[in-house]
Amino acid sequence: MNNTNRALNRILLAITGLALLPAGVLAAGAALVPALAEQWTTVTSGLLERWRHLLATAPAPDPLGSWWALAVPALPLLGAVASVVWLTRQGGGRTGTAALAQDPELGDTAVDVSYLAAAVEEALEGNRAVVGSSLTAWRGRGNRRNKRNTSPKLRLTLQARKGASPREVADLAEGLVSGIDALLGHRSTVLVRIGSGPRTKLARAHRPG
Amino acid sequence: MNQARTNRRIIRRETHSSRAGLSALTAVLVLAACLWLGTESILSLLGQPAMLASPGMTASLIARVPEAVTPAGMVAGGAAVALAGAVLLLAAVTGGRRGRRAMHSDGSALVVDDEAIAAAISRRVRLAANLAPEQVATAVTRNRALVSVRPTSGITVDPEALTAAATDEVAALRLRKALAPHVRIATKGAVGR
Repeated sequence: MNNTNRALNRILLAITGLALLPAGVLAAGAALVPALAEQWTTVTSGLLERWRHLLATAPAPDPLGSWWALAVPALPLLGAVASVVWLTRQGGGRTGTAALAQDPELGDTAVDVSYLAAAVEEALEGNRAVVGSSLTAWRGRGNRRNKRNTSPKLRLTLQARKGASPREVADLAEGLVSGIDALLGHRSTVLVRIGSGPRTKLARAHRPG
Repeated sequence: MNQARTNRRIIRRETHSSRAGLSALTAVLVLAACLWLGTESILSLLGQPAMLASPGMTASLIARVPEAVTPAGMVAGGAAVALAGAVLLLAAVTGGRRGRRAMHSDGSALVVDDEAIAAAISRRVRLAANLAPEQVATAVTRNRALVSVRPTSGITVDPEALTAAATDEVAALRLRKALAPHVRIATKGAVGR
């Protein structure tokens, strides 16, 4: 769980797809249909002609030739900056702080995730249905504007023993969540995932009784 | 702050792909293309020799592509580009469901892996029919749990009892969306069990 902007991902993927799909179809079509190939050549040479006209409208000193020529490096650089921004928008939001209380008089109190993770580990000691657990925290959306009002959210992953009833593990998780709430002193948003990870495969199967 | 709405939102995010991997790949490719084009155009502005082809050469090449490239190459290249575009478009439009689903819960957002559900159903059916672990396999699809049972040779199993066991296990899970179990018993039995 993180702060990836999923709507943005889908929109940008759709735009890229919509640019590539017709281009590919057109290229393949031009090879198969001679009329389309002719059309291709006329349209592209027409465009090149118009570009030369455009260059002539804003003449510049010699190495440049025309002010419009600056657009040629500017557009790809703009595209490069946009891709870097898109790349950096993936993931993020992980935090090591499970809860934060700010008080003007008493000062700030922060609870580390590792403290809660150790408590969960302790509570699961000797449990037959669960072979492993992990606890992480992330900050939700909107934390940049009002950092005070968004407390971190928790993600508890429990790896069920192979064949253990997920409902049994879920009931256990509800108990752990109320334990976490009791430790923190307030209700927190917890995402519980009951999984079957690598440790599930290594551990022996759940035995009746 | 509405807790139920927050829970619904994080369950949705946990059970569906963020498309981060494909986005990162696309962004890297676009970045590489843009950097190459940018470098070439700056080189040509400075009057330096091009690395591969100057923007002018690239433009005139694109204009002459139907004559310069063989039809077979054109079709193959065009199909590859169109396919990549279709994959990106599909990834943008389709749901991207991961093999997990939501369970009912009082306060927290509860998500369970399909694999864990399959293992639990298999175990329950196996105990109901008194079979060895490798005789029962379960696959969980979008809204069905397909249980395939390979009975021991010479011993009949009651399909209704097994269906009841599977249905019971699914009902106990209290999933947010129904999952219908289907038990299929193989006609060939396992020998020596």
